[in-house]
Amino acid sequence: MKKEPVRKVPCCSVCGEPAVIRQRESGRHLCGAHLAADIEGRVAATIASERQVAPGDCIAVALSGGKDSTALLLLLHSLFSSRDDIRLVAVTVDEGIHGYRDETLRSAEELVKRLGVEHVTVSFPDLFGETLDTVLQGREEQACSICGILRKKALVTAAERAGATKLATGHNLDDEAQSVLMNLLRGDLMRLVRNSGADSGGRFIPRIKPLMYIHEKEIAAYLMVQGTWSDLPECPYAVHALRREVRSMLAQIEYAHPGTMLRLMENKKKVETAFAGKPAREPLGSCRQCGDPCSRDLCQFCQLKTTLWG
Amino acid sequence: MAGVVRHKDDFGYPAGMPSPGRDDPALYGVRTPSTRTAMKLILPDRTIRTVGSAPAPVESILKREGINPIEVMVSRNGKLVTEDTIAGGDDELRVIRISHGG
Ligand SMILES: [Zn+2]
Ligand SMILES: [Zn+2]
Repeated sequence: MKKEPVRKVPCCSVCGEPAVIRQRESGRHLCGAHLAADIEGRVAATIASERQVAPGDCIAVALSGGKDSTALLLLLHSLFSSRDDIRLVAVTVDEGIHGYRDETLRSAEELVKRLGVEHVTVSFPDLFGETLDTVLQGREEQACSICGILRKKALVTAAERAGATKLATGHNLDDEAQSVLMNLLRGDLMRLVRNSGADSGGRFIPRIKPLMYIHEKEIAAYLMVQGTWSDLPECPYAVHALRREVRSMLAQIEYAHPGTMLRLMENKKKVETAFAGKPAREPLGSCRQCGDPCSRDLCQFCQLKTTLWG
Repeated sequence: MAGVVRHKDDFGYPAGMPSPGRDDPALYGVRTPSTRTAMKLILPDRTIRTVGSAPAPVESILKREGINPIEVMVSRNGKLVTEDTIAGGDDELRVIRISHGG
């Protein structure tokens, strides 16, 4: 008769309860409650050290209903809902992607209702006269870049309608580290040092990324523990060729060398510091058509508008 | 054979294959759990793999399937576990992909 296998369960390094995650950089194990506490603490620390939020701010939280934005709203709500001097408004963009958006929109609506957070939704048809589905007919190859530009415009519009002074997005450490690497691979150093969270002098709503130092896996585990994880469908247009390759490559390197993603972010910080206030930084002009801040004659949105609608 | 672990029973036949000893009550008597158990691995695309019951870290089970442990979460019998958890016996492991390649 064989012996029953040993069912060893790694325990939380803080309290000894069964662990739900191992933080690979430190080797620390955490249970659900201590993972949540750890993430909340690190998000608060990021917000403080990056000076992302100030008293009197109205934070528009970009809420797609996907995992990162759901975690972002939950975390900001738990950090700020008791503060009288900070207002949170969830902002959602309905791009009009048939068979994909409905589920995430429903999830976003349920969340804001449960938390009692204000919610502003804008849709592509409202803003641009058509859905992403019709915009992309015959242009499926450029789906992510077209959608990215339109969605950014829509988010900013929603944030302005909400009266926001900050626009928070759910970009996590994996996303940010991928972006650093992609900018280097594309030879786009300027994009690396362009800090959209910087003080804008009132010309645009500064973007903040409170989850920029939280691993994607930590966010997923956090949601799982909170009971808010749902396996939502994949965007049918996802064609980010370079990002997909970079994501998989970086995940392999991170697995073999824990801390790689954080070190990429440290490098970005060093370059940002070195370039701060230097003339190498592109001067910020205004778009000839819409007046939005941009570094060229026309902003990306107005360029796209001309291509799409003449 | 990407990563399918064949666990041999007491008669030298891999789990999941007919075994004259295991499947013949006259030879083997009552079926004991130890010869019938195997881990069930549910992959993100919902395909189900049967892997051996021998204890192994979740991490190495994932690697045998070509899955990077930092790109997934794993629940064992419905509870989220770390990749250095030792699984075995008739555990049911569900692999949940955390990011959609887009
Ligand atoms: Zn604990
Ligand atoms: Zn413009």
